[in-house]
Amino acid sequence: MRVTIEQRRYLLVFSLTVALVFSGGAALSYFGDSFEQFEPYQMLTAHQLKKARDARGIDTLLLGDSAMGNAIDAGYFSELTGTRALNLAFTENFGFASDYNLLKALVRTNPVKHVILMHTPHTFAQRFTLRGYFLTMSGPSDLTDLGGVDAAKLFDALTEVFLTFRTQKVLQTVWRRLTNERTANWRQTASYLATNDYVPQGAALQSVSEFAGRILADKIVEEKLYFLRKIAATCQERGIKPIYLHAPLVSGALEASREYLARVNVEVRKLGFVTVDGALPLSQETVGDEFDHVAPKVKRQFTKAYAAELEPLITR
Amino acid sequence: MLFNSYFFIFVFLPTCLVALLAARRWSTVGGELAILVGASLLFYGWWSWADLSILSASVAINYFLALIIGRSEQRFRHPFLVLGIATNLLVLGYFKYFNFFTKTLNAVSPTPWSLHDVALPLAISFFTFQQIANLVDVYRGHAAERNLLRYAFYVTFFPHLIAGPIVYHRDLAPQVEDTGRRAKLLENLNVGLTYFVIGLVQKVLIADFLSPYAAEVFQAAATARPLSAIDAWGGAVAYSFQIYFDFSGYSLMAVGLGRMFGYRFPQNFASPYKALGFIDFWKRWHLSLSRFFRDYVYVPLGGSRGGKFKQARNVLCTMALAGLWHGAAWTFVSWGLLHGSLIAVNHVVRGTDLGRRTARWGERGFGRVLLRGGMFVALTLTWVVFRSENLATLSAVGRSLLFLCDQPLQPRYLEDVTTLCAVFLALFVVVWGLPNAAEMVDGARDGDERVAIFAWRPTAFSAMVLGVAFVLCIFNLSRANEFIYFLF
Repeated sequence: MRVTIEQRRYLLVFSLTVALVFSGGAALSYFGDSFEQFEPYQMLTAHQLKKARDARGIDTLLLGDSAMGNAIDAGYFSELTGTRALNLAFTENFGFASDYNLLKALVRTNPVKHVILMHTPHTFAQRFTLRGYFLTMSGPSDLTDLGGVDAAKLFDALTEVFLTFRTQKVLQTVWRRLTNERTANWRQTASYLATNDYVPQGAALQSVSEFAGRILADKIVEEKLYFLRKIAATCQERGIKPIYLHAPLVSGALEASREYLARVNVEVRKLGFVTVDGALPLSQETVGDEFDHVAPKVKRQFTKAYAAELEPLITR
Repeated sequence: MLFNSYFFIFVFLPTCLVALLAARRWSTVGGELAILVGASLLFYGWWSWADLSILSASVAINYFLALIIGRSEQRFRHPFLVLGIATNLLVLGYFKYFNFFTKTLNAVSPTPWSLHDVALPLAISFFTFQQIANLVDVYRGHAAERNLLRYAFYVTFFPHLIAGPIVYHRDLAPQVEDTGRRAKLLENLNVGLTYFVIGLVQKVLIADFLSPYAAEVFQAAATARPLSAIDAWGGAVAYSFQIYFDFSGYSLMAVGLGRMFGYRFPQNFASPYKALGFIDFWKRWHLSLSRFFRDYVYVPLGGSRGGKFKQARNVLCTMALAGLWHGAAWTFVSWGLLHGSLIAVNHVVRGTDLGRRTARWGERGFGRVLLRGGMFVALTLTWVVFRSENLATLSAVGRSLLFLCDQPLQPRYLEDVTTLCAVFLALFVVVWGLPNAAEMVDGARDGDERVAIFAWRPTAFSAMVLGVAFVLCIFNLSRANEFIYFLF
């Protein structure tokens, strides 16, 4: 009998501990939005979602990951191309999922004619994730738009985003609020975000020669085309022209990966996108903190290059 | 679906446990097994419904072959055994090795052979070996399983299906009938839960933490980027710990899941980094695979009979095959041959005066620390062979490990070396100083006094610690990678 009581108590205490800590996490997650967010990428998400909510009269939508965020200055691009462009770049982790949500949200209130997507090429080789989707949903009704996604993956992603990921971020926020240094960083980030429309970069790459001969990826994960397919369908339905271009890359990796880039373009064209061949090269002078990030000092120069490249594809 | 996924932990596993409890209450052993087989096929099919047909066909064919061998007269048994083993090896060979051998042939032949676009069915190495073992056991006189449902259960039971431990029919068959298993429901559930959470901690909090460090270094080497000796050693040691905690974590989760359903699987690890030689290492590392190769390859080849030379030959053949089992690449074969050579040398040395003196010296104190340290370095070097995707990567990492590179002694790819060193230090304490999970949980319960102070008991405190550890793992699950041994 004693053994049974011990065993019951063990299971009960384990379950209570887990339930207690999870409830705490869930509560933090629920009330998390009332905290100011200090983590740069959380701030970026809030910044881009606010822009999307406030946007009116936008005809050219610039979507993508950090490569897009660092490469194109939407204001200058509008000036050069005579469009009304808005850059809503997130990060690599958000993938094409956030692009799709943002497109859906923007077309409701804006006369969008062009959607320009820019991602780092190896995103096609990475595993399918729904985090970006859940973090950029307009409301629960977006959940109905995920037909065909594996139920287990859906459950994993929902749990991850609404329980663990958000709780972690809220805990980080609370911790950072307690430390003055972090708060100072937050102020710098907020001010940089307001003026440069993307989060600040770290130190520039020391040597781009390290990337010589480096093929970024060699496979295309079929699941990664899921949201691209939905973007293409939405564009077709609304008479929007979807354009896809690869992120700028350090020269060595670009040369080694040209065959892969061409293969990706074939797949993307099949979905109905107009594609741009190759990618703009980054040198030691123009590279930022990643092999696909333009240095902030040459962002306008690259914006001009992209405007020239994309102008023939844009009809005003 | 992975053991370390939210869906498995919060939906699949609880549903299976509830279904099993219901079956135990209102049904017979047959009902219980039907639920477990159904759940296992669903679990496997979730990965790939196409592969499920291969698994099902393999189970059906091997079931009938085992029956035929079991019922045949002695003189007909041998041809059926050969047929069974050949069929299994042909299927495994086609899916796993066809392109490897074709590529190798193309490298030396003027006429290129075309490659086949085949995807390796998940867990094929595991369920093939398990069933070959069963055919051989039946040939040797072990009773063949006559009930197809029971046979399907032995092969497909989901806790061991994907990456082991390799469980034999003779391991599981007596447990199905054991009525005590049903009576110890709560105890088994708690012990299983404890193993599962310890495994989850090893996988999610340790192996997945170390994974980026090793990956960054080996990726740099694979793309011919310069590597300093500090990078190479940091990456290699990180990988040594990663592969151990990854696979040990997986095995503990499998053992724990089996126990939750009332079945005891053999343990797969017995503190391998405490080994004092290569023979000792293989008595502690991936025990179920070692047992398979010992019983079904090494011993039939002649084992230690016929003198030191023949023994060395048998060890080399066995380990080369074990290397090839791990993957279709020459680096795996080289790794197997390297271990085979070191085991053969170990066999020779331990028979000499020097060997006996070293063994005595290594039994305690400073000698033991030094010998374990030496073994860890040697094992780390062999893991580099295992981890390298090709010989060029191996050569690049090897040169840096041996300080033959012209790079300054500073890290280029390892971030926060101080934290990494602290983590290494803590892990050395764990792998050298503490008893392993099986000793703590089952060893202590079986009265092993050496581990008394670390013994797991079902107290409220240990339940709270386990609960917090579980939640920590859940919070870190999103960065989790697939298990290394899934690739095999």
